[in-house]
Amino acid sequence: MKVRDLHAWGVHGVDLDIRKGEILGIAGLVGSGKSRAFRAIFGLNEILRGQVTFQGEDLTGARPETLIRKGVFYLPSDRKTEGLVLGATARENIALSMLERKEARGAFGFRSPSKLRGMTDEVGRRVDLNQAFLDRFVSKLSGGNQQKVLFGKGMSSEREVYILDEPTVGVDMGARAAIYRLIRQIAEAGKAVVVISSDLLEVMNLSHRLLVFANGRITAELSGQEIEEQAILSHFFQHERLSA
Amino acid sequence: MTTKVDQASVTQKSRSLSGGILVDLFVRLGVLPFFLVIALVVFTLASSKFLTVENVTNVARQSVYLILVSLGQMLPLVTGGFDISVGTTIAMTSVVSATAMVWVTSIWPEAIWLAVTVGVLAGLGAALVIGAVNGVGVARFGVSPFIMTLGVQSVGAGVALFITGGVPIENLPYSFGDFFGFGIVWGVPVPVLIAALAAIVVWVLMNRMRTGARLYAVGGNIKAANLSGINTRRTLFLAYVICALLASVAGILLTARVESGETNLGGTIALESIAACVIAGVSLRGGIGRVESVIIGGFFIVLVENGMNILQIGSYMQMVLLGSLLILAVIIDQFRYRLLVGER
Repeated sequence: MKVRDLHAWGVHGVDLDIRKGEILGIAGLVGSGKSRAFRAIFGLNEILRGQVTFQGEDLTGARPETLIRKGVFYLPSDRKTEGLVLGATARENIALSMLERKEARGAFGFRSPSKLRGMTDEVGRRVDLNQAFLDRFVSKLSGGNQQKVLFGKGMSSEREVYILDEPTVGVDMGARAAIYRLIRQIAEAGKAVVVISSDLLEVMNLSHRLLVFANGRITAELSGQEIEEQAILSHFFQHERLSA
Repeated sequence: MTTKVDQASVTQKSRSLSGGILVDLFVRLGVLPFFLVIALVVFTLASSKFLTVENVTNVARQSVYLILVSLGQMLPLVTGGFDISVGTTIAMTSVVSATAMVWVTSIWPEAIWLAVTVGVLAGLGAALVIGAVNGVGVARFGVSPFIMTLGVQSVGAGVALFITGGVPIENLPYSFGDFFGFGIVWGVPVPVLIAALAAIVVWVLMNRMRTGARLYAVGGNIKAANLSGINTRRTLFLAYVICALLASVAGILLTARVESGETNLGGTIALESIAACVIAGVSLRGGIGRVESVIIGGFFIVLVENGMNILQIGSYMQMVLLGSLLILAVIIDQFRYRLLVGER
């Protein structure tokens, strides 16, 4: 996925490439424009100028359902407001992302509950979600398990790009480790992963390459040994220093 | 002492178990089973005429129209909205279908079934327009369902009165009333047969088709539905169109029953259908509701009206009771939602 000269509300001329098999970390202070940029890429915020291309196709301003169909997954930072249907079970939430899969259909093309059950069981195992939790209302699950359900939605269909906005927010240490494992597995499977995080340590440990956002712009691109706390922090405030 | 403690704990356990079953029943089905039992007990004790095969069959027949409209009303409710214009949809269907039938009959007096077919299609077409206007307003322009359907209700009522001048359209083909109003096929009244067919279609739609899952998701959390790849606008649009079409079917059956096109058909059906759905456990917050329960909900409302008629409760007091029942069901729905989602 390529993004060129992206302008959106709070985002001013962002250029970036999202590559297969790579975890791209996105760091920045709150209000730096890091989440806004990716919400615009995913079609949740309006793009004022610029271009988003994926597999050679121009997807600038495309609606989320188009990007999802093309294989892009977005995990929102606020799981309760944007991610989950709280009045449904974990299984029903995961199954929502399987609606378009032909394997989930039975006679006359109708939804097959038994096939969906088997498929959601499999996804539950992949994201390390206790099978007993699948039939519980998702509102009754812990933050970590709710986050696993969201990852389950991401893994319920073939995806090429995973945009994960604050993937471990409000999650305990145990679930956090499981989520890190999942993120690495996704990248090792050759998928492109973007991790947007306010947790500096998290984004440093996960990323192969890191982009630092400040005032709606990318102020640094770091990789390998360059991903280091002092360097990142200095780039957080670089733009303010330059404008001063 | 040990035995006493054990007995106490067993009693407590069995109490909490039965309480747990009741709470589980309440969370899953809503207030309907409890209301139904109360209504049956109260009316049976009050009158010996109530719980008879003849009366219950009569209620089942009468409830067909409300069940049809409630099945439609369930769809916008499941998406988190509602449709106040179902009464107008019935009136428009009645007036338009009757006008079309009379017009075709005046040109080809012998082509009775052509007139009936044109009339039915014209009625459904009028409803399609109403549903599409509601759908576009809510889904595309983001108008609140209350304002949108209230406005359409007023516009539709005005148009229906304008077409008829407030006078019923009579001289419909006899075959129309004979078949759709009073016809019997395989020993079953045609309206009952059509309602049963509609119930099966809606059940399949909600439980076995992707559209059903999308409707529940949009009502459950429209943002999450959007991030799951669901076209939320198309889903909302569809809910209002299907609702109008089902109300239109009820309108055609009612027109056949009264054998004339009337603007005052379906006067109170918006309130009754919303009450039937909410009592049947369809949450006003959206995302929750079962087709089976809605059918019983429609039956329940007509049963209560029938019971009140038997007890000779006046129509004004019946309105008071029906409105109160709806408010009570909504209040109880709030408790149910809290139990379900675990939020205050």
